[in-house]
Amino acid sequence: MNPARILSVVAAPLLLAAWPASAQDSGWSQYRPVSTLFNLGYQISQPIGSLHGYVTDTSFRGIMFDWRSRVSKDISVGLRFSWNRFSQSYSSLTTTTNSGGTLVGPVFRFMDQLPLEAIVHYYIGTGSDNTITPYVGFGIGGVWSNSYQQTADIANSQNGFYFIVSPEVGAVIWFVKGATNVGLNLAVTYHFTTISFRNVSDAQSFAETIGIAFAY
Amino acid sequence: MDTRRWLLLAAIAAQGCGGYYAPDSVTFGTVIYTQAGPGVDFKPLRKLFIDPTADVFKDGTQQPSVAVPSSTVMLINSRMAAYGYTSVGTPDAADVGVRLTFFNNTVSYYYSYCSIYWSYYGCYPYWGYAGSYSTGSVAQQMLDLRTNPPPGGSRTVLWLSAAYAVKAGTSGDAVNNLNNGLNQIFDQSTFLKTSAVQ
Repeated sequence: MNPARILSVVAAPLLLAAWPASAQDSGWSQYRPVSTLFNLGYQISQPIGSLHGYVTDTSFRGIMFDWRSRVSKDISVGLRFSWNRFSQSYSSLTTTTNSGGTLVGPVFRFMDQLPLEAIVHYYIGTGSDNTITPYVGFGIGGVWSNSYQQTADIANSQNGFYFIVSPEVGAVIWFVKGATNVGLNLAVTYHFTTISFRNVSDAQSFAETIGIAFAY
Repeated sequence: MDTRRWLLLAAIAAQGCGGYYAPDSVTFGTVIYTQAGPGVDFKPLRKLFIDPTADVFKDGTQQPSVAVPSSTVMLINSRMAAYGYTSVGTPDAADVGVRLTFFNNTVSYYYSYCSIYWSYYGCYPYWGYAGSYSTGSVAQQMLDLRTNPPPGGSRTVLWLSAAYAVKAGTSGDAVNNLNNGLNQIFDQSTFLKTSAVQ
């Protein structure tokens, strides 16, 4: 018999038997759900309700950062901080006064919103081979707000600390998976607050987030 | 493709970085206030007397009256004529009288970074800035001259208007500012129309 043929007949069963044992020892390819997740994102926001009456423009000034820790396979809890600025300049704004007069003039307005919330998220599809992890979440906490209005050289500002709740839907698209995972985080968040100033009461907005997620 | 991406990023950055301070068009803009007296009917009014002198207040203290610039008188005449008023030379022959008042003020300001908004970083030492500037406004009122006021009383004000931060005056550029402010006031006061133009 050809010696090479004898070698292959002996080697084949040895190799086949050795493969599974090798894979188990290496560890890195073994599935392990992530336990901690960080998100850093850019936000665009649309004011709605009475806040839309104060500033109609979409806000392109917003950031968010959150930290999430898994408490079970599908659920995480954590903290979120974000900042949104709604601002607008009006070349001519007409206002009716309580006495029946009419004020017409250029106006600049802004409103800052800085929430700090406790958050909880539920993840759908957390298997090892999923490249997309959709989730729904909910935040509750406090929000500091500062509003400012100026016409000519007359300015007025108000600030205060209020209550906020913010349900959220989103998904993480993982593009690096391993001991540390990196992905693209996309989310839409509805902010309901008790922020009230001038003619605004219970300021509300939608925020769309695009950011980077790190998980390990 | 790269160029488009950079343009998009630049546009987002520009949007993200702006919006912190009021633009000059707001800071140096003029605010117009106009109000008709409660229940006043302007339709039967016809004859107008324009007071040739204006009251002046500087930083809250009354100054000697000044003559209203001729271009301003002409402006008031023409704008009120468009609403159906005819100018007369004496108050006795008029239904209504219009009088101007100038307010010139010096505003002092001080801004400190010692607040929660700046995280109190300017509280020690007390960082901030201070200064002063002058501003001016003009008020215009229309009085009812058809009936004499009761003893010790005053005439009824039919219309009150003002141009705030117009830096109005009786000489130089201040006259142009005054006339521009008055034009805006008349633009915003279409309720002054009498039945002569309707």
